[in-house]
Amino acid sequence: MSKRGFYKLMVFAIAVVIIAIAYRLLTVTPRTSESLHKLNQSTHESGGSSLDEADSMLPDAIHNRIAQITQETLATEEPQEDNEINNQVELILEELKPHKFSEDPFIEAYTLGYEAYFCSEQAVKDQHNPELPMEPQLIDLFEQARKDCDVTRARYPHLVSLKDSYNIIKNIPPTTAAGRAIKTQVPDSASGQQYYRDQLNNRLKHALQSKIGPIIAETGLASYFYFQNGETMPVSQWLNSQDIEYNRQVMKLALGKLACRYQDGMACQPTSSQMFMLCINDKTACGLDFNTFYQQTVMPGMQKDVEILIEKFAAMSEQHP
Amino acid sequence: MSQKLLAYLFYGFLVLMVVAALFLLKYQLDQKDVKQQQIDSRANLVSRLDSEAIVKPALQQQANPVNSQATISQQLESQPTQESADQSLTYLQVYRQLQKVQACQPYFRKWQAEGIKADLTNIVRPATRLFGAPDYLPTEPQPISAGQQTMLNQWQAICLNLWHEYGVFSLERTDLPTLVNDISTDIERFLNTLPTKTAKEIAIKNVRKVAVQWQQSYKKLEQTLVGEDSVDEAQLLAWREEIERLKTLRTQISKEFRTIDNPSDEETNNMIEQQMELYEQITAIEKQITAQKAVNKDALAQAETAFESQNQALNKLLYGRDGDVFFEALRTLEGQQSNRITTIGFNYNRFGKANSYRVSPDQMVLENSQWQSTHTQSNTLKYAAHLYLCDIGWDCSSESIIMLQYCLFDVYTHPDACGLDLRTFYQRHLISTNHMMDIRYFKNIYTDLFYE
Repeated sequence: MSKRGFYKLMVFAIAVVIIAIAYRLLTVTPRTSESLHKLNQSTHESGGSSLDEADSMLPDAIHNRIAQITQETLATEEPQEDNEINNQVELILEELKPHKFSEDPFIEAYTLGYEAYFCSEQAVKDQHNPELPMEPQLIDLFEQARKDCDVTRARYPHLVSLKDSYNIIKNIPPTTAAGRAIKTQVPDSASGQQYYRDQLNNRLKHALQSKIGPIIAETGLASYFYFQNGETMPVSQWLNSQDIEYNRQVMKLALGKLACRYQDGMACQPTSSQMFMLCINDKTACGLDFNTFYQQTVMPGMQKDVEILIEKFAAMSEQHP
Repeated sequence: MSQKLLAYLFYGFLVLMVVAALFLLKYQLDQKDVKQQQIDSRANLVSRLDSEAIVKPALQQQANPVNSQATISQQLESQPTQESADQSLTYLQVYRQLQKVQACQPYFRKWQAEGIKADLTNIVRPATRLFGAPDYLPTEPQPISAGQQTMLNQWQAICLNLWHEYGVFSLERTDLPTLVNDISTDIERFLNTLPTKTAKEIAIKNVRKVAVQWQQSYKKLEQTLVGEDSVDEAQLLAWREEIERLKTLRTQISKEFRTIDNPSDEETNNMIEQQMELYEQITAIEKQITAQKAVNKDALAQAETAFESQNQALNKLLYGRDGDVFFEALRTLEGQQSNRITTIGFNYNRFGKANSYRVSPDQMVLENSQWQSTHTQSNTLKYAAHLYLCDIGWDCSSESIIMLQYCLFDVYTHPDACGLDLRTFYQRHLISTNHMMDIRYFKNIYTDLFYE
């Protein structure tokens, strides 16, 4: 073999070997547990979006047709329902004037709907709901609370008589950032845990800054507020307590107590929605106003922790919106 | 460069390639073997029910070479496993083993499912999500802390010893020994056969016996309070079938509703109304079934007397000033069924027709305090009971079962609990200084009531 022929053969052999190795590395997944795990993950991830993939494969013509059908459907079917809701919303917006709690009609209606619960159709349904056993204390509370219903009905005839008040109220467009935050009842956890926590903190911040007692108390009672997707604010550091369940209780009591400072303590009356919710869970709360309940059931050490959080929340309520 | 040198380089390169190819081939064959073992191990779990031969695996023989021959022959004859345990163990030692076995259940489940060499890190429950902690997807494994890893290893050794000592395994596959007995039940049976020598052992055996009698009399009382059927069997059957039919209908409606994309308010309300209607129908039939039951007054009086006697006997043992005795009585009076002991100290099971007949220690403490709401004081009462238990000699050390659970197996774990004793963990991490004041208040009542 000539020297040149030998070089050619050598270059050819090296190239073949490199190509073979590269092919092997690129096409065969090594069977280590790590790579199998990765493979599983990628399969799982792609499995979750199979509908999107299928959707992306549809020709544009079909997409256009779907859009057309959707528009036609919206044009022919929904307006009737929309009109009905819009009419009800209009009536409510009118009767809300002059506003008592907020310039934002959503916050106004939401607060009134929350506090006028006992006078609503929903309360009647709940009272006869076999899944919500009416113990004597609750029945007494319903009777007490209904004494003023005539006045409330006279002032807000549409809002109170609505069969499904929450569904109508949620159609009232908020006009402020606070309204939009408060409308976010259960944040979308699918958008990420940090987003979820930010949404909750935003809601709490706006609730505090609104200085509307029922809204603050309702935020404290929301059971989803603290546990899911991690601690939303450093309460465990403020209290030096890793007992999340206890911290949540302290947080609920702090917001409840803070709520009593506003609107002459309307959120803390024995017949307020806050006390109704507390009464469902704890019979010792039934028939009491919040402060009496607090003094009778919250021990001195816990009261000190409540005060720590009240101080933090009060400072938050004074921050600029 | 000379042609000769180039030729050597070329041939050397070829030899290297051949060696590399052989290495790759061997690696692939090894991996194939591992994969096959994983497939086989799953198949073994399915086929173990068909297994007739029950003997200790080779693994255990290696771990316990002295006893291995005797152990195998005993198990082949299907003798109770406790006979294989060391007969020189005292009652107290076996009692401790029983408690540990109950705490070892997460390890046992893992080994049963994936073999003795399974990666144990994922039996550790997720940590409490404190502020600033990193986020993990639900499918993503959370890393465990160094303290958790140490605790996991320490208890792995403890649990492995018990697994080998008391487990009976199917020999169908020696590489994945499948447990075929309930270790906890077998140790309990073994414990009951052991003699008691010290005062403590006598007290523990006694409280365990009284606890069983208390549970039996409580169950009997509940059954008596429910009453006996006064209508014929055919009528009962008809009611039950109707309930089943309505429940199936409810499930069907729910399923159909879930298939609707973006349901309108009207569709949602319709579904709720249908569900409510069906629920009311079911409740009405259930009420009929309950109403037709007649409580036999004589049987009730008898059950009440029997329970009262057992209840007094068990309550008396609360005053024994012994941590283990108090713990056994406490968990019985609270109706604790699970192995989770971080929740002990507050009676979360306040339901059932016979509930009003019993008073748990936390209720006694609350009644002797100026406070009323059990709802607000639940955790305070619970921690007070724990600290009282520590005071009277219950194991609250860093190696205790309660600390294992806080560190690795609570619903949300506390990495800061690992390596600390209970009191230190409570003071430094779990409980605020202010809350501790309230807990001490209740703990003092525990002491006044049950110790002084």
